[in-house]
Amino acid sequence: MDWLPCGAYIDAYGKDMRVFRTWPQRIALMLFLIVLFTLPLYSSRYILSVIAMIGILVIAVQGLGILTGFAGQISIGQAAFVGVGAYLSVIFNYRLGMPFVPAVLLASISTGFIGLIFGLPAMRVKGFYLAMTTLAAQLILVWLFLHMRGLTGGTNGLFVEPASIFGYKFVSYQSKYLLVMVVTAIMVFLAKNLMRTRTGRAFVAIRDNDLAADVMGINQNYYKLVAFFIANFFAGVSGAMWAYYVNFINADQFLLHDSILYLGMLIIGGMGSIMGPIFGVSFLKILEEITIYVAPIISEIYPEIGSQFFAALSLAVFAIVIILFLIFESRGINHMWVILKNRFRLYPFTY
Amino acid sequence: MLDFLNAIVGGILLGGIYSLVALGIVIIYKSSKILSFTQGGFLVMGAITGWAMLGPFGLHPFIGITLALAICTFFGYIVNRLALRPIIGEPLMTSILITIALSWLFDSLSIIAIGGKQRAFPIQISNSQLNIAGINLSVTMLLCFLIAFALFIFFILFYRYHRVGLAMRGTAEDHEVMQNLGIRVKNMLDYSWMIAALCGGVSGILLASIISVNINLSSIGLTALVVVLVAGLESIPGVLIVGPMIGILENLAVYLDPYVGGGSREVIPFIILLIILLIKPYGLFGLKRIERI
Repeated sequence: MDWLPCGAYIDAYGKDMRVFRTWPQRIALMLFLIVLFTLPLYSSRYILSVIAMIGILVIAVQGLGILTGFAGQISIGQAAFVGVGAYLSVIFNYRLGMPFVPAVLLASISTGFIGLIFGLPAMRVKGFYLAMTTLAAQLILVWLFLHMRGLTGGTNGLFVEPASIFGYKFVSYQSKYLLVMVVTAIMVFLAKNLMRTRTGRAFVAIRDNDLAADVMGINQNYYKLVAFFIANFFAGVSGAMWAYYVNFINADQFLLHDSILYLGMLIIGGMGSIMGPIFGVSFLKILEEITIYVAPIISEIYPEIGSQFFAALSLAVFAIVIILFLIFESRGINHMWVILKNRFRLYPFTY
Repeated sequence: MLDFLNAIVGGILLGGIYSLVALGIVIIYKSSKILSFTQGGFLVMGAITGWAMLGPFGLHPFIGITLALAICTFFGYIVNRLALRPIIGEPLMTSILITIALSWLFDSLSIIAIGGKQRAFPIQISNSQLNIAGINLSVTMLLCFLIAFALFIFFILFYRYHRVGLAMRGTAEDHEVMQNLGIRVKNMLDYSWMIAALCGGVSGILLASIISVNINLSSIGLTALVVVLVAGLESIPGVLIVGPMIGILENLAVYLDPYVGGGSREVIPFIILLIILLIKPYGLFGLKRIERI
């Protein structure tokens, strides 16, 4: 429940439907966007790269959030679809010679349709069965990345030339950062608004009880497939950004491990909210950077543990964080954030 | 032709191990309606503790293996107690993710224990190959299959006739009703996780003695999940049939390799899963649940 601060009144339905209902919220958003977009002026390359990766992952996890958090269809295959988007955008751009923006759009839409194919079982099965079909999709797609050597370069991967829009090439890390941030902002905005349409409300109805939604006149199968399409469209955009940010794609970047990590990010951030994926991705990404920073120090102090230790450490840290969140705060960071906000808004009176 | 027969027999024996791993998953599902992704982790734990007891610690095989299985069972208890009990009644998503996270924990434990290396299992049950009419049979694999088969018969009877088995099935149906009937639901869940971990440990030790001890053994947990879902989640006889079926198809996938460029056996179980779920959504031997609002 999102309370309004004392003294803020709503006297029209239109005002109630606004995304940002009070001035402090709008100002905070503006300040946040200004900081985000002027960051290249005064920050280091390392910080920019971390934030850009967060942005790329936010797009993918936002899509997963629409599918799993809003529409209730569990997917353990998002990373593979990110990979499909990455490969397709590069193939469309260079093999077929399309300009950058249409190539990315077409790649994302095709990723959506490929996701639709693997979402077809959702019409007949749900729960564990659906989770396993998406897991199957993940493994089959990664296998295809490795075996369609002519298109994907197999185990060697593909080197990606910088993106260019109207002759401007995104070569420098600042320009790539800005490109990713603009796209991330657009996609988050799209996701937020999608949830205010009939489609978004239909997703929530299906999540809460798909049979009841069907009885109420919401075409269950149609909306489940739409959810799959949208989620994989987001994955495709994220993949395209990935390809043009990292400038190298390889099947190793889109493994089952990553898919599960995306689900973990979604859970930690909080399912069923737009802020959730942003919190979750930031939290886990920063945690990952900390383990990357800490692992060499530990292995210097205890050299007998060996080089495998880092892999084990990051796996164990992620696993423990996910388990702790699931047990103690299954609604994620977003829920904590809402509680905190409400506490400040209602400050003198704890209703 | 002989190759073909060899592939089929080898597939059946391999499938026996899949069935054994899958059995643990079905046991957990039957009592708690949780699909466990942790089974691969128990398998690796069994393999590693077995290796540690016999290799570095140098215990007598009988004592060592008993001890390893006891440790596995204890792991099952701990896992259920610390991670699964707090999430009783939470949505499906939670249980899926928590079991996956647990399997990550087991993976990281096994990386710390043995690193990326392969370790030969200290004792071989038998190196010999039976040769019947040109078909090679590994004695160890045959033994695995027989152990799996014996366990299956035991569990089918256990769930049909024994008091605890019946109570476990009831627990899966409805926790509150079982509580009111005087059954300790928490104990039932403990038992099922312990049995599952034991099954995982047994299959881990058997598998390690065939292949070797390495951290990639846990990926068999995924194939076992395919077996469980194709069989229809709660059917023990189904698992016994589907395990060898998947094993055979995996072995026959070698014949596809020239057309797709190799490695088709890695994905064939998942392709089968997709096809089966599109045709028969509740698996081959599953119960179709009728939903009400």
